[in-house]
Amino acid sequence: MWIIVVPFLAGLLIGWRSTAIARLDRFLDPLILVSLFLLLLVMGARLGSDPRVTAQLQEMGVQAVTIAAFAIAGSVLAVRLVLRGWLGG
Amino acid sequence: MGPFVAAAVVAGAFLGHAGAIPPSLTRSLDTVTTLLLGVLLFFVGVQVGGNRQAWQVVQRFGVRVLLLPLAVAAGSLAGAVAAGALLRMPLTDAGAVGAGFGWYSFSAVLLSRLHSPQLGALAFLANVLRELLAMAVTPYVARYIGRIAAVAPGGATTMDVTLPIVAKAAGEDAAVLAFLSGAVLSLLVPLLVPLFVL
Repeated sequence: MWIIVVPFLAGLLIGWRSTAIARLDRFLDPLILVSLFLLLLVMGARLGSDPRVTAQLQEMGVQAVTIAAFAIAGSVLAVRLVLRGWLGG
Repeated sequence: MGPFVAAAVVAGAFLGHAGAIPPSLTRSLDTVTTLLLGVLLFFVGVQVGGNRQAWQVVQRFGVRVLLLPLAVAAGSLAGAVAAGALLRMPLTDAGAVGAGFGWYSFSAVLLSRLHSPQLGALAFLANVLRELLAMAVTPYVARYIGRIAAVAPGGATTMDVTLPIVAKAAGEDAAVLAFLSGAVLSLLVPLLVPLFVL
């Protein structure tokens, strides 16, 4: 988990230091979109091909989806409240 | 953006489930994912780093920036407990699963050890689904609810896996907040999960 942050921090540093590279911004967009698409595809494939995941989905899929969806909804709601209340919009 | 994300994940899951990917490759999908994510986060990093204005949000919010992950944590736990009530399962179990904040590998291991393999399996699946749902939902939250609110759905994963999506859908200043929020939430996972089951 934490190791994956290293390339991000390296990118931050390079982008911050070098305005020349930052000017490549519009080339970054398509690169990001393509690698994002590939990543999502591979992540989907990893889950789809994992027999554990498909077995568990049948067994406790409803519970898992409900908890996940409610946790997401709750977190969005809470952030909205905090933004209105303390962070001023 | 939203349909694009959902379509890619669903297409991948379908291909994987249909056995379109040879087993030899399946085994290395973990590594492939990590490598792709590394490359992607590097690009996003360059973009965010090069955008000086993006960093002003942190100055603007100051220490109050920490309220963001705390709100995500509180909202996730409240949501998970409410789901538990609806499902008629022990509320502490539901809370413990929700306290994974999307970090499925870690929360699953924690709960298998601290509680039971069953709850560990539920933590795995619920948090995998949180990550997937977050990817699909984040663009819509950014568009219809608010750019900064787009930091919320991904939970702890906005530090890495869902960070590119927040950056694309909500902008580079939101990405800075997302990274900070995800990092704080990741630190909270090992503290909060045991709280519910011990």
